[in-house]
Amino acid sequence: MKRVKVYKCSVCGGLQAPPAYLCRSCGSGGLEEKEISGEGILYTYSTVYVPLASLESEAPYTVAIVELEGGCRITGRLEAGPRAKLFIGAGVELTEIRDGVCFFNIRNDRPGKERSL
Amino acid sequence: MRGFPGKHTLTPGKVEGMKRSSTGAVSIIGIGKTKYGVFAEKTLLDLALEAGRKALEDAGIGIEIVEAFYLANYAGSDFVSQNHLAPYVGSTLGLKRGVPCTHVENACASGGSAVREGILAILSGTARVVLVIGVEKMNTVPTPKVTEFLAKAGDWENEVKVGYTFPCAFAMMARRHMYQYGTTAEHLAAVTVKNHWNGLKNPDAHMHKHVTIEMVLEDKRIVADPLRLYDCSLITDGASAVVMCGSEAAGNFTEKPVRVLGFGQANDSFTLYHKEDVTRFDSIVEAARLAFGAAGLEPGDVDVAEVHDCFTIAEIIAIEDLGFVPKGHGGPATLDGLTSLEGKFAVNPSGGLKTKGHPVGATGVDQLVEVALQLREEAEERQVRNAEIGLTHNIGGSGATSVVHILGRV
Repeated sequence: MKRVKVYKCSVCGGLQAPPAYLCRSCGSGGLEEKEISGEGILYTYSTVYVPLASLESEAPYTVAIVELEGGCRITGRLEAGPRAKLFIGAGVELTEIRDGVCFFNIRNDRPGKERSL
Repeated sequence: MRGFPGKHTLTPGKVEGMKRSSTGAVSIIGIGKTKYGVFAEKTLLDLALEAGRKALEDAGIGIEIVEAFYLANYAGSDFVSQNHLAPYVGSTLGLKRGVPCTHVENACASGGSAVREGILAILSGTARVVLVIGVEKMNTVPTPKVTEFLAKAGDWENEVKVGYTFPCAFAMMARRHMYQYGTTAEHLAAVTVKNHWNGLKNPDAHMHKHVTIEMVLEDKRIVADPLRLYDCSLITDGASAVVMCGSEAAGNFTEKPVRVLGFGQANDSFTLYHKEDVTRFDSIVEAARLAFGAAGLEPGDVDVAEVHDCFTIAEIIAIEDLGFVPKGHGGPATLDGLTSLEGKFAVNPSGGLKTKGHPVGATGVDQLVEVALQLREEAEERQVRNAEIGLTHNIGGSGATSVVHILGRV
């Protein structure tokens, strides 16, 4: 399982993805780099059909905000294939970090549960 | 023909003996704008000068009495390869030598932020008459390039590099809003239909097209799912301007001054993923609290509002966070007609960013132009009846900046 580097607050223990200068939870300094598991759930996502000019050859692609350990959120790309069932709360895992971009895929072993309103 | 025909110095006598603002109140004494649309033949300078000249004419003044100038523009350096924009426009417009010219860039909230700087200049006593122009010339490059220029208002290293665009950002908010509150595609379409209807009545709007909920829901052109082309604002060229002075002197210039009753600007997390809840803009909540507090008013007092509908979901979130409806009720309220021209509180009578258009730097200024027109009862076919209190709401990025102004008839 790939791991991802985030910051941990030495006072309250809160985790946050960069950029960070002070702890967003308690406001104290003293952030330490920490590697955490790349397992998480989809917080929200969108498949982009009108891309940035620099990513035209990759469109459509899916951008997701993933919630990792301790509620720490990160923006990454979701490469799940056209048949994958995407929903908020779906289990995902980090598969690769390429040029500083985190790529996630759906976890087949722990898909998560879709909530209906 | 270059330049503008007619008299340039209209009424220099009006400013002699004028005192610096002491009442703590500022009024809008002149408004002006270009048509909004795609204008291959007009330069950024042409657009800015036209809006500025019209606002000065509306105030019945010449440029020589303007004591501070603010120019709102987001990406002139990208779209038209021009920086140092404030003196570029100001000196061509004929500002007296020695007048401070300041460029304000706060992404899509550049216009609202520039107006606020103008108000502060009057309140601080450093200027008696202020001109603010907002301008953007966007139709110089293909859409993916426009998308890339706009994306620079996000965090390149942590969001944009991933492939995040602004349609994508608001799509992620929309998906979460649907999940948390049951908002539907039909609710989003109701915003589109209303703003297209209002835009039909605005001769200066970029787009004039009647659409129905069915047409919107059947349209398959997805930009960033769940947002479709009909959920997105337009790529527009245009400029808008306001002239302001201390309220005690406003009557010297116009019979219909519009008073700034309150204003607020606030920030929030720059990145979307750091927001506690992506369905809420804390910056709007705070800017509104400041503005309503200063005005001594409540959301229920507002008759007409121009809000930042860069995407349909943004209007739904805006009317919730401004306090017009409870959280989660923005979609149903729009579908029920509460925000139509004849509704309880009219939202985006101009057609909004959706059909009036969204020349990024001009948008925040134009919101005040539209609300001033409404309060002066000069909005013709789209006039909101008995409009006495108006509100403008302008956001930058994914809500990292919000600016709210509350205006009133005096």
